[in-house]
Amino acid sequence: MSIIKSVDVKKWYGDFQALKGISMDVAEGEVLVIAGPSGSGKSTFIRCINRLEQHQDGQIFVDGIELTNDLKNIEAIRSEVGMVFQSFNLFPHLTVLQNITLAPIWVRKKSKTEAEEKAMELLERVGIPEQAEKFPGQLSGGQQQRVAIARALAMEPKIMLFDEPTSALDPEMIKEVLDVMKELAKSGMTMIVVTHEMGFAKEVADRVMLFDDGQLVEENTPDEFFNNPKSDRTKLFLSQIL
Amino acid sequence: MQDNKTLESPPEIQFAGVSRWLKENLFSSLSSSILSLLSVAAVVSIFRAIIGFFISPEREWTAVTYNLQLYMVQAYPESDFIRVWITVGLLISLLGLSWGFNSLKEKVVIKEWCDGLLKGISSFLFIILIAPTNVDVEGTSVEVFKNNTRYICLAVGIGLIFAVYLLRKTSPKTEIIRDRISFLYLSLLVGSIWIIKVPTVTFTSSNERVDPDPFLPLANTTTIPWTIIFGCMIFAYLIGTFLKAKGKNSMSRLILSSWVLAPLVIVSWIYRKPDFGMSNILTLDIPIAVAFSVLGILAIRTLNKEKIVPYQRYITYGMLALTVVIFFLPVLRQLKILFFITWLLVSVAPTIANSKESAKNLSIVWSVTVFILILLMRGASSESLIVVPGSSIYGGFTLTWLIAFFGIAISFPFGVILALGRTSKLPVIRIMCTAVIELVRSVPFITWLFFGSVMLTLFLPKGVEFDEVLRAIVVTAIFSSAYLAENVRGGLQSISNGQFEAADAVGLSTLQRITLIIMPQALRAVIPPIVSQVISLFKDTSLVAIVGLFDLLYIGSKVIPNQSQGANFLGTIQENILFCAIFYWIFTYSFARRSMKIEKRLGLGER
Ligand SMILES: Nc1ncnc2c1ncn2[C@@H]1O[C@H](COP(=O)(O)OP(=O)(O)O)[C@@H](O)[C@H]1O
Ligand SMILES: [Mg+2]
Repeated sequence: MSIIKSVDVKKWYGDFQALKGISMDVAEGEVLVIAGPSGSGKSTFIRCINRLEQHQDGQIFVDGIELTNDLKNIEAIRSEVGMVFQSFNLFPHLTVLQNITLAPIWVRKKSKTEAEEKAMELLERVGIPEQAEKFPGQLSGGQQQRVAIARALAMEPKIMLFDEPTSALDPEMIKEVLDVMKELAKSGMTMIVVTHEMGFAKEVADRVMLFDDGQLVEENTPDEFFNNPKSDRTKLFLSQIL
Repeated sequence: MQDNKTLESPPEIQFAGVSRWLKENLFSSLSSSILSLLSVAAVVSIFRAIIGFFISPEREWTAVTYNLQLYMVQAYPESDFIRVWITVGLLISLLGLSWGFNSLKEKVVIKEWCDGLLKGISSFLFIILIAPTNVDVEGTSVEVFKNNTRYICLAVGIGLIFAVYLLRKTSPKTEIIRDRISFLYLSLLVGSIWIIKVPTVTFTSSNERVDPDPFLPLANTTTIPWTIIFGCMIFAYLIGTFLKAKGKNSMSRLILSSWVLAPLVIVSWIYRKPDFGMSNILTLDIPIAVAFSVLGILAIRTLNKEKIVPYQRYITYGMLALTVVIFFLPVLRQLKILFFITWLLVSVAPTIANSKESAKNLSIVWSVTVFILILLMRGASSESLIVVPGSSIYGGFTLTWLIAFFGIAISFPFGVILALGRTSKLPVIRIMCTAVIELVRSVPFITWLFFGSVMLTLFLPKGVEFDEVLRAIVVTAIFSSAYLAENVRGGLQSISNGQFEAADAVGLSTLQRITLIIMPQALRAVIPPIVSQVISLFKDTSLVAIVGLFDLLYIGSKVIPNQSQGANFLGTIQENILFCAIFYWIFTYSFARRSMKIEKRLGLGER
């Protein structure tokens, strides 16, 4: 039973075609890693999944609901899909705690105390409960990204999307974020992770995909992907980054 | 080693250090020494001239002190002054309340406070020291500042410095709450209006000016009201701190609403003394208010019913059409406005009142609003019992304040809406907002004032008449919104795309995204330009004199220097203009200081 399904998704920016027909599906609880060179359409594709971008052709279904321009559908899907950005995008004018409780209070209509309890639980889970009252600007990059993960989790999503979550981090902070993500993967969350961290892919991914030039060129188990890739493009890609 | 270093405190500047500082900064070389001496000489001679100008016997400062009443309220009848005092008292008490409630209980160490005091006292000593003994009056030199007085002042100043220095030495680390210091200064100020005596223009029973002017307390007739108001302020401050200590956070919303409400109550009920007629309230206003609050509550209850939900949109459109129709019908103005806010209610109720509890809250807010609104409108639309021959009941500083306050307050929501409109994706809205902003900005303020005064009546339907002051306020508000919109737009542009995306990704609606994420950041980013805008608007209110209103500056520059009845102040233009300048400066500068503090406090959340 697939929780995300895309059928021949195409997307243009002006005349430039960023996605040239992507068809794939993700099962519930699966961890999917998307790799590929810069500009190959990885971000564009996962941003289509929660409608930060609109695809122009093909279909995307999330949890059985098709993504259309219907506002009700979009809102329903956005509260089921959490997203973590490369540049964190925390709200700088709110404290860490307020960042996390904002959406549960205003979108899920939770009470403040309930939302704060849950937020503290999540901060505990990502390992920074002592930072709750600070502002994002007072935290390190790794800590900010963990807050961003907690913020997404606070909506209790069924699916988490990660767009290069460690690319903006200093090397010594990458591990702390990856550890949180690994823990999340083991807890059974459905995840799509765009990343260049091949170690992460080997360890926790159920499947790895390679994007190139707006196309899905390879889809494989991590074992096969790294040791016995089907396409030449993958071999080239692996030789460049490993 | 590194740790040891951080524990060490920076070296203190001792008195030995002062001479070194002087040497390093002022006398490091021959040329810089000459330059320093020359500039000190220049500063001293300029100050001497200024001080001489102020204390010259040619200056008739009684022209200012005698006319303070005119400056504040212009020709408001003396028999109704209690209304003015209630206004002032209400606002100052509210100020005290929010001060107490929002106070951070910031502490200052005695040492820092003393340093500030020392600076102040030294400037005082400097002025005393260089003040000229004689000034030239039409060719002859007149003694204005006796050397004996100078010595006494110097002695007092040096005594004070010594006292402060001792205090600084004995308990440098003790902390005091900053608010207490402010209250100390304020009480010194209030005390001084009792104690300090100045020459005061007085008249004998046969209406002749007493010569020479007798010395009377500074505030003369207003000492008691000011003292009472000061008492009220302290009391309100204490209530504020008490509420804060009790952790009543819902109070902050209440205080904010009182700030919105107080000016409206003042202009509709207190200051203008409406001839309302109790029967009007009982037979007309109360029934209408009851009807509308019931209507609103019913709307809140039913709009979220399962069966109604699909028709919500049509109900909103229907209500809008009804509002427009009512607007053009010859019915009470009250009804037009009530229909308008009912439409607002109908359009927001489905999103706001989506749970039992919030529906209940909205119902309460709605009923209270309807009642307050209808009473305010009754006050505002009744005939005023205050008669000021030849001009509006607002004049002097009251007018300046009124136009500035309402102009700015009204321009805020409109400015924000215009800014959002100009950045909107919908072309019709974007073009309309851009056109409004550009049109308003590209015509001088004075032109708009004329337009409001002379031409607005031509465009309005027959029978709709605006008071001259209201017209000035409307014009000011429109003018200010255009500028504000551009400032806010600058703030909007400074917000990264990531913020919009993050707000979308956590599922916020468009309205929530704007009010919770985008606007708070955009406004914060543009506090400095907004502060400048508010300051210049405050000063620009002096332009309303051009359409026949008596504002502070007009009274100072035209009215008083032409006074020849009773006390003769013909030609006292220098004194009055200087007074106006100082008056404007006090308000704008303290506002700028205040907003700098707020900026600092908000700056905590910045990257
Ligand atoms: N907003 C946009 N406007 C125009 N072109 C865009 C935009 N966003 C992305 N692109 C283009 O689409 C292509 C795919 O981008 P992206 O999905 O960000 O790639 P990746 O995340 O794999 O590096 C790139 O060539 C990029 O230049
Ligand atoms: Mg990318």
